[in-house]
Amino acid sequence: MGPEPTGRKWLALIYADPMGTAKLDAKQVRKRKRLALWILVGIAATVLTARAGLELAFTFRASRPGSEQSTQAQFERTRFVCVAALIRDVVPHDAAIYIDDEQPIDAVFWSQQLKEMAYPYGRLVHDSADADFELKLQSVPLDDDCHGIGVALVATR
Amino acid sequence: MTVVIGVVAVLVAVGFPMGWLMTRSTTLGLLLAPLVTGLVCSAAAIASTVTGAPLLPWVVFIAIVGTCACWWQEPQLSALPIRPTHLCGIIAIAAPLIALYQFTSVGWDARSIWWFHAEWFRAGGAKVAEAMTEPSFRYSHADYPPLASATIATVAAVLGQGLESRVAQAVSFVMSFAALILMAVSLTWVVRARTPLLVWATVVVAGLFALGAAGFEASGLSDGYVDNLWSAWFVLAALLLLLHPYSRSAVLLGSLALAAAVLTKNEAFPIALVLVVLATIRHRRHLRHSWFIAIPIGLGIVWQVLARIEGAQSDLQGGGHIVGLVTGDPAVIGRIGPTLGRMFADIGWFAAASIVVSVLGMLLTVSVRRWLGVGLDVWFWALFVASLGMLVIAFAVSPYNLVWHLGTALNRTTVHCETLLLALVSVNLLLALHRLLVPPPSKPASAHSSRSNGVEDTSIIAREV
Repeated sequence: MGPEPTGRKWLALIYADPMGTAKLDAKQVRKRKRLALWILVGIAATVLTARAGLELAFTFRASRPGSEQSTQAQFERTRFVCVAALIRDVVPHDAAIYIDDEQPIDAVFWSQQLKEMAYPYGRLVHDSADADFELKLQSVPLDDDCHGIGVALVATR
Repeated sequence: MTVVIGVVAVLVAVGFPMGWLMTRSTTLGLLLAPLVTGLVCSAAAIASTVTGAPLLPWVVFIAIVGTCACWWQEPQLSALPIRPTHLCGIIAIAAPLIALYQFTSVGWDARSIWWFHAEWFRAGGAKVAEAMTEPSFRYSHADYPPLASATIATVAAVLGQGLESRVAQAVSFVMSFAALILMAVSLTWVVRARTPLLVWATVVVAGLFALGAAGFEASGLSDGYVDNLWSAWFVLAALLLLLHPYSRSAVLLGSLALAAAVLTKNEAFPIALVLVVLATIRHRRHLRHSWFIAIPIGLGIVWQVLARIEGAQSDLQGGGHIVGLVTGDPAVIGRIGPTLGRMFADIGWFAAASIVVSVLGMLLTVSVRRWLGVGLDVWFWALFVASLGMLVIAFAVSPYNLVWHLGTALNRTTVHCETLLLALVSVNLLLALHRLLVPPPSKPASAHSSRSNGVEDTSIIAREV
């Protein structure tokens, strides 16, 4: 028995005989290949089940009823439906609407939401002088009918 | 529950006749129905926008014309069978995803993009054209393709309701879940099992594949986003075009799925171009019978040109830094490093594990791969690298703050990359099981030639799948 091959000798061995089967008989080669295949099956099955199980478990945990994400989303949904109902209560179909981008609370959020609710129910105009209705949202105390949307619609004209 | 039943009924009513005529299979026809309905609604949305007419008459017209065309043709997808019991097995394993539908809340982009556009389509082509030119809607990505929104608009119109969020959410979920299951079923076509044990192993792996693919962004199945939807169709196309042995049926279904992906989200277009190029190289000997492989790109170009003519702008056009990337602007180039870092943190370990599986698979399953005519993993790796490269470029030239953009979009936009890797892992797992559980054929060369010369091997499939 000589010394164990190290470093570059290992690399040379692997390069010349990647499966290490050169000195084995046919039965031993088959056995080694089966072992390698089972290792492949093991790794692949572990990766597959890990992805299938763990990620899904995290998603369930994050979105289950009562979680922070779920509660926040429910609040957003209720608020959205309330704003839509308010617009349709106040503004007639196909009216010219001007939406004030300078909203008192969370300007981008509300101006986007107003636009999404108003179009194509009404027509958007960019000058308040051309509008039949001007829409803006004002901060108000919680509204019992709309489960606390915290805003009210102001329509002028 | 009533809403979901109504949504399924509309999707099946529009898409099933064509699905059945193409496959002559009730099971596969039902599974294909949402895909076909999405394509019909997209074509109708394009026609409606061009003519300024309402959407629904166009949907009816195109569905009738399409059904007549399929009736006139021979069945085109008959070489891709699936037994109802096997399909039920895959759905049963993926069933936890159905429970998610009850819990998941609606995402922000669902309202501000997909459902908002659905309102436009429901109001008719004239309103769509008006909305696309409206500068205050630029945040809504007015140039995004029509498939998801037009399908939601059609279902809402047929059900005779306003565009309620529960209808839109149900359409998003049913479409995404069906796409995911169809993608999982395609595994059974790529690696055709030859013994009962292997058949059921394939069903289990396909079910886990569906579950795992959804797991990358599982809430995305039912929160109204479309990333899972286009990713499932894209990976289905990749499996059929790059790994499945050549058959006209596989190329046709792959092309339909790729067309649906391209008509669902802009990001799909450039990477679909790469997939078509790779598939063209792989099937270069059969191109005369596979000309339809170019249709997805044609449809993508049609929509992009139409959107530009109508005045819509993409966010990259509006404030992107494409010129900065070309001229080597340090501010743009400096965004590449952090983007790669975040990508590596997100999918690095999974990509490393997939490389190990793929290399072992390519070394150990050569004979069974050749015997079954399954394509090499190299095709998928080329597609994966191209996908990542395009994402890096998109984040580098994006007009948004990088930290914010990566935080809000990276998880969703890498779903197709991760699903490609999971598909590779699943295929290699099945090939290794095949190699272990089925004795190799005595004459592999002749078997290989019968699978790879374009002849549909339907007799074997009918008996054994």
